[in-house]
Amino acid sequence: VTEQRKRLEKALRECAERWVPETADPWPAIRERVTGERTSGEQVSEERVADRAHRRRDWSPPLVPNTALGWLLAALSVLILCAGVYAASGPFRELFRQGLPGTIGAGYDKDAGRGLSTQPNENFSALKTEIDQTRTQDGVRVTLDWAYADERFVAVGLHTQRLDAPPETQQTDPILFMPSLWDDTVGNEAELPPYVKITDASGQDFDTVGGGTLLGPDRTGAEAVFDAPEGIEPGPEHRFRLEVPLEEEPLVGVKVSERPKPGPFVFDFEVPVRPAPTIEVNRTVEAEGIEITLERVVDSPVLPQAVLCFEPPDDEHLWEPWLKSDPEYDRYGSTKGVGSAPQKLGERCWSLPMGRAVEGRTSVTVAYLEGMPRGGDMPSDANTFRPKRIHGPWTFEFEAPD
Amino acid sequence: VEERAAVERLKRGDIGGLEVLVRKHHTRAGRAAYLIVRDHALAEDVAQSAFVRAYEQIDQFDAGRPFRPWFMKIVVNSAVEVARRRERTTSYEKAGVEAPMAWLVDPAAGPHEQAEEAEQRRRVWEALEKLPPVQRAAVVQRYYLGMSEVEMSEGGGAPPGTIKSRLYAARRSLSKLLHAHVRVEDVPETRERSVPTGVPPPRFKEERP
Repeated sequence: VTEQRKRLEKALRECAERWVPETADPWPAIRERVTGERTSGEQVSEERVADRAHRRRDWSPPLVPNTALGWLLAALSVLILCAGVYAASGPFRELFRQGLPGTIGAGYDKDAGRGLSTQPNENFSALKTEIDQTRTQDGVRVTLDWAYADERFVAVGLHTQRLDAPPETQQTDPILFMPSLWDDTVGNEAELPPYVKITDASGQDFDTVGGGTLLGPDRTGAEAVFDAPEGIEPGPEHRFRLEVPLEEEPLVGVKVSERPKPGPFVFDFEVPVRPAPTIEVNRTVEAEGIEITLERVVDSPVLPQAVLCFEPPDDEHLWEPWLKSDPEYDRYGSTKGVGSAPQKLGERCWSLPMGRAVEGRTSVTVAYLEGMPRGGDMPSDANTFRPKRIHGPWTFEFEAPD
Repeated sequence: VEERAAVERLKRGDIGGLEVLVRKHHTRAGRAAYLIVRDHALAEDVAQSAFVRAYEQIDQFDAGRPFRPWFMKIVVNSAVEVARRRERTTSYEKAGVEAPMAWLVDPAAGPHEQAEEAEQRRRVWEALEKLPPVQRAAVVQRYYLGMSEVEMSEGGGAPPGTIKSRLYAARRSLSKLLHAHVRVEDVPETRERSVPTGVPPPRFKEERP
């Protein structure tokens, strides 16, 4: 372990050493930033000025204007957006109701923007129930826009707005409040800071398995997907309670104040619980002398799952199946051409997120099986170790019922 | 001694004290930021901004304690904020992330070892990219800056439990991503779930006891 840790530290050190300061003497630039005065005799080249401007653009997220004209246009856009959103009807309201582009569905972690996924099912917006509950506290308004529930998952969409006009919003570093989304599936969730949670009368411990945020000039949209580990009985009404703590998010700059955040905001709401039908497929495909059976597909509009079973090629390795990703749907940041991590179901079976809608003629392809040594015994020469892989493909086609 | 004197000068409003600290810590600050934001220019900006913040907040610093952990926490927090914002709004491909192409290798090592080391660096670099910024920052603090969990937690950092949780999650993800090329530490298998990237798959009823 010590040796492995040393190797990691060495690799990190060497990665870090690729960075060298822009100039041999960083002090004049820092002094200028602190005092606003240019050091006597310092010549600032046009290249440096241009580079600094470029870097400022890089710092700003695309939603943040960089010029006075930009801010003016942004303000106009906000007025138009707000007018649309708060109108009783209208295209803007409908657009927003249908979801925030780039955030819908089930991402992994709000810190990893790449985790935000597209929604696998185009009809998902039609399955949402409009809630439109608003809570206001300390100048911040949080609105629960919609909710969705099926036998496996609950999803919610909400947005936050600052109602006051603090000096920050008129300066170059406006501060927003965003719902605090944390992945509570790893580590000790009791040790996490306050984060968005959902509960129901069953008392089961829902896991946050997806979500994301989208920052705007004066509002933050957020969506979260929760796994109901014990399942939820389908029915016309099911009562949930959503708790929404907030965290502070400066749009520009890196200042984070230590002032107390408003909230948590609590929403009680009822939505129908839809069935997440199981499609029994039971189809077996052989490749490389290995038979894999696609037993069933769980057709949740939020996270469709394929359940695969196979006899392990040997007992010395823990064999996992990896689905070939669908480039049209894969937004998880995977560049390896394989989908999300498999989840073990018993000794022989695995559940894998399909990353695409289950509709009509649908196919699922296992790209390869990967075998890791059992018992955590790593070879002594860890540098050259490669997990065993048996490449397929194993492709299953099935017809999803309407 | 020189550092303590520099801090004292800074606390008295003498900006000359900051110059001493800049010359001593700038490169390491930039490198730590680079591991998190993964962009040369942004890392430079984060490092410079951190010195500005240190200047602004020096009154909050206990001069009886070492300056570096306190300052590096400013660097890391700033880098995480920048990385979060950047990754939330753009992909690395679009932003033109710098791929580690030409790396220096140990001239004393043979060609085989050099190739292995280069491969190892590439894997670590790519694995870091897949971690959420807060976990990436925890790895950088612990394994690059050599900070203890207590140091990571002190002075306005996250609570110890949160630090442990982040390190735990980061180690798990790294171990998985590196496929045992670099197994950081033995992590207790308290859960089946192991999610290097993408959406954690849900658990099904039949697997529950």
